[in-house]
Amino acid sequence: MREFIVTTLNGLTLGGLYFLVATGFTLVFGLMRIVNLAHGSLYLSGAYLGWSIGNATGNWLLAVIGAALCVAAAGLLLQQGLLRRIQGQDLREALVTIGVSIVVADLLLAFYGGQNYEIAAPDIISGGTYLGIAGLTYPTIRLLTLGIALLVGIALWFLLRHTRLGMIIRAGIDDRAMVSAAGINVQLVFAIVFALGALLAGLAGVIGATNLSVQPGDDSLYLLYSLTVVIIGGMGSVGGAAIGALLVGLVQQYGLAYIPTYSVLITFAMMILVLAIRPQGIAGRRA
Amino acid sequence: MMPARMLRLALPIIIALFLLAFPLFASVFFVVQIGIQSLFLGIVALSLVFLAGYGGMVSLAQVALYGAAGYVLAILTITYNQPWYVGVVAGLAGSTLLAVIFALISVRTQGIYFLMITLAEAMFVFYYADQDRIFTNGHTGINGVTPPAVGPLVLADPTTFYYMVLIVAVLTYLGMRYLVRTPFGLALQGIRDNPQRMQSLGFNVPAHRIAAFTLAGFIAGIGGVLGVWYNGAISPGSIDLTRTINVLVIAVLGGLSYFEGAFVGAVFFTLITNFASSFTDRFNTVIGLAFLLVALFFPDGLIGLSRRIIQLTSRTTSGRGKGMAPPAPSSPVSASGDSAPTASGAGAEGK
Amino acid sequence: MKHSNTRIVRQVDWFRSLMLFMGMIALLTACGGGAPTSGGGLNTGSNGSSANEIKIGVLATFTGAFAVDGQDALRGVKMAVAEFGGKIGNKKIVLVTESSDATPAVARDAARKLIEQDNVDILVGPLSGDEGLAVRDYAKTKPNKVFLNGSSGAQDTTLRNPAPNFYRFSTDGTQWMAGLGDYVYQTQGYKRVAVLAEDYSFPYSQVGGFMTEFCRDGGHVVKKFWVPIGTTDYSSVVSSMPTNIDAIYVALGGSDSINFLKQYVQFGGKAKIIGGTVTVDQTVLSTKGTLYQHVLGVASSGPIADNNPDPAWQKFVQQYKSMFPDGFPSPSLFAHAYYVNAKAALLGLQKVNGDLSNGEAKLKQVLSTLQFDTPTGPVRLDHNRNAIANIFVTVVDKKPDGTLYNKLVKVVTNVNQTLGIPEDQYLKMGPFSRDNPSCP
Repeated sequence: MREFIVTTLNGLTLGGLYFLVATGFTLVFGLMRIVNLAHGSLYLSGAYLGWSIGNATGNWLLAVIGAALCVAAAGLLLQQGLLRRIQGQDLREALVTIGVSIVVADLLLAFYGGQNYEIAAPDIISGGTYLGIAGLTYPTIRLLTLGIALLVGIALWFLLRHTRLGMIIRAGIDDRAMVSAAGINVQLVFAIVFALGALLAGLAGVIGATNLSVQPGDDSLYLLYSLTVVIIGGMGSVGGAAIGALLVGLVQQYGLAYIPTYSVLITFAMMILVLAIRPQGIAGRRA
Repeated sequence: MMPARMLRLALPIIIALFLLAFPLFASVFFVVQIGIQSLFLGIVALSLVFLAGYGGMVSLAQVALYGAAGYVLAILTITYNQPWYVGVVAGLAGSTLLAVIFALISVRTQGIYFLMITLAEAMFVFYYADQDRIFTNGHTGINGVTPPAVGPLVLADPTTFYYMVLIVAVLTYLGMRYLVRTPFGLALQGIRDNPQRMQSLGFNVPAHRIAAFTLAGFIAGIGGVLGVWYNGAISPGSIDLTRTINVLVIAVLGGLSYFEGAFVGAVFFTLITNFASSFTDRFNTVIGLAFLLVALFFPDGLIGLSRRIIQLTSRTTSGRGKGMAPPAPSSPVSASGDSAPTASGAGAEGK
Repeated sequence: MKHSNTRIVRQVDWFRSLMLFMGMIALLTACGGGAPTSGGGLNTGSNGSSANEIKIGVLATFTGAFAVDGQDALRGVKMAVAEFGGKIGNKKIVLVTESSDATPAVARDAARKLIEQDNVDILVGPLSGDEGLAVRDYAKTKPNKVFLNGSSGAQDTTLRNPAPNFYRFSTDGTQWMAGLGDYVYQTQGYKRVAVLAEDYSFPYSQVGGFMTEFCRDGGHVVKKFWVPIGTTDYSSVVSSMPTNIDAIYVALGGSDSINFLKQYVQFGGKAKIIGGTVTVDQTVLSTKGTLYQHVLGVASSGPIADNNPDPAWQKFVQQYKSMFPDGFPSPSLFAHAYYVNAKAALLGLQKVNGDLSNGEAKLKQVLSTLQFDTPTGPVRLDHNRNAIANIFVTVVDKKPDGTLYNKLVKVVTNVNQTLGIPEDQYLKMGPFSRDNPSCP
């Protein structure tokens, strides 16, 4: 029983991390129809930058904020510099982002080397928190990750539902041409959303590196996770990303605990199933 | 300016002569690691060019299908000691069958969704191969697969193998070129351009797509058989995400809508990966940048680029043409996938 | 609106572009290639280097996540070459490097490039286990060249189907576990243990080596966790650890090891840890972060011990530090293994005075019977051309300056591939796998 509770918590907290990574991806796709295959590179950059800033300043919070902002800027550069030129051509955009991810991965490898980096959490969040249930002590950092994910989720919900920008974004997800025709500066909205997506990816990177560690190859890994989560949950839907992230996190952890050998396959099988039966995902809308 | 017709006849002959004579003047290393490798990688890329350029379906599952054939061949010949022809036939059957399954799952999706579902399918195959102990022997893979001796032809000999692969590649290439002119091929291209219209004209769009994907799986399987023999082994490392993307890179570099591009891209790619490391540690950056440049500025790939250069030079030298280049064959990269919404308000995807 | 369907109309121009490419290839071929020579198999030989140099090919992973290990491996080779002043007799030693990416197929291609394109006389490598099997198979097709191992540690490379021209002067992954099972059972007092390892061949051989001794002593392995390669989140493994165990034997490498240790600490895990060879090696101990406090006291074993008081080892460490101030605080097992194998090659070359004629026959003869002293003790080969050497049991400790190292606690001498068990009996135990050996 205890094992089950802990595994469930593990799944929830892992889902929190996945939610952070995947949300940016889904917003960008939903609004701009860009499959940003360099999303993993943004995550990885965030992780490394977070380490560098943390190492230089000794302050974890600064590392988190600094890395997230830097990656947001990088994302903006990517969007304005490259993607904007070929706007509207899905496949070409995907290919360009693939090219970017190859280059960025190699440059990061050159700069940081192949060894592991892990970001040390400040003492107050290292160690365990005593939970009342079943006398458990659960890692604080994981609970914090879940907390941050919830905060971000609520903030995004608020942004999308109760602000003008959010309204524009939602309208743009539904019908981009109409929004443009209504006289709204679509390009500005695109830039903001892409930067936001990158910011979230960078944030996720720092948190992931604090929870676990960072190494070359994490970009492909977290890109695959993002794809999985977003496809299952639904493209363009933040709520869908939450559902997808929870599902993927829980399935992965249950799988690892009970049928480790093939646990990896279950996640992909889920994704294939969803694409085959309901291509727009659980919470997504048709196109 | 040589008459176009004369060039047209002479050039294939020159190329053929070059390829046939290659082992005579090139070192064995070049024949094997550049020549043979480019040829079978080119065959796999050919299947992608067919699907993407002529069918409008960019698939990332080709390498997994290549792997399926390779694994079946390796398992049957090594673990179960079957003769090589059983292995080959079963391998090709395996990749084709898997392609049918993939196609049935993916056929209703289009464009970028299709890309992602094929990626998921490919990753599924990779992780399965990496984890399974019963058949695929996990991370280590299966070693010791040697090309057979077919009568007097000892295929394990590099030169013999080269010619065999060359013949297979040429046949596959010609077969593809013929296929796209058949009614099926034309229908497929029509479906690429406008599926709704084709549907309304009475064509069974999903059936055509499934057939195309299955055929592409068969072709990728041919590449898989040759690849396993070339490597003498197969392991999950041959079908991971990196290799999957490599084939995409090859096809895009060559030109996603040209069959020749598959092989030209493969040659270019094998040359870079083998020799760029002598010049710089950052050859992945080199490949990435090349890919990026092509995707941004030369979406028709190297073939398209050279065509443009030729056109430019022929225009200036011969004064021919009114500055109007002949219309380029459609490239899925440059023109399609335009997601400007139609009047129905929703995009073309997910229909 | 959309493109027209003009693909049917073929343009002449692409023929010309193909011509350009053919020309480029022909040019490269002419520059890079030579005349073919006869031979069998899919790979045939070519002539060696010029008369006054000897080319040694170094195959390691210089890209990707293993790049750090590969760099250290190259350092090891360079150290060996430096000991000989960079020449044998009046022939200069030239190093040619080629990188693989830890996949067997690329390792084979890299080996082929070194042997056939770069014309190396001797090849030293590869780095990782599964690559070793591929290079050994390739070596069988090139009987006229000498291949020495780098650091690859899969048992079967030499134990089953060895190649007559493949020499491994470094020990394999199972040998690396010699002495650890006995030590944790007898000295540390762990009787009940759980095992956590990745699901592929190298961990199998490590776990197998550990369990052979541990089970024989009377220990119990109550549960085994075989996680898929690439698992990053071990939280569920941690939480389903049995509580009635003394220690967990962890055979994870690099970042996985770090991830696990970190999460284990976060969950307040109580059981002690026993490390596989790469679980607490230099690359892990030198991770930039604060994790290391939690690995103090972890026992492990392997081919080297950082603070080995043996003067030969101390001298080796000094030389490493002075030659490579930007290397690790102490040479890793990769540097050591490549050093030993490269030195063997150079000693052999010295003994035959650089004579590589006749398919390098003299060199092969000499290498089979070569015995010499390494920084970790004497080494010689068994009949499968695999090393018999010393293994070190270590415990993680902290130096005054705060850096971590593996402190030597026991030296096991003359460890052979079958861990002292008669070979036929050992082979009968079967290859190590998920369920073999087993002592619940």
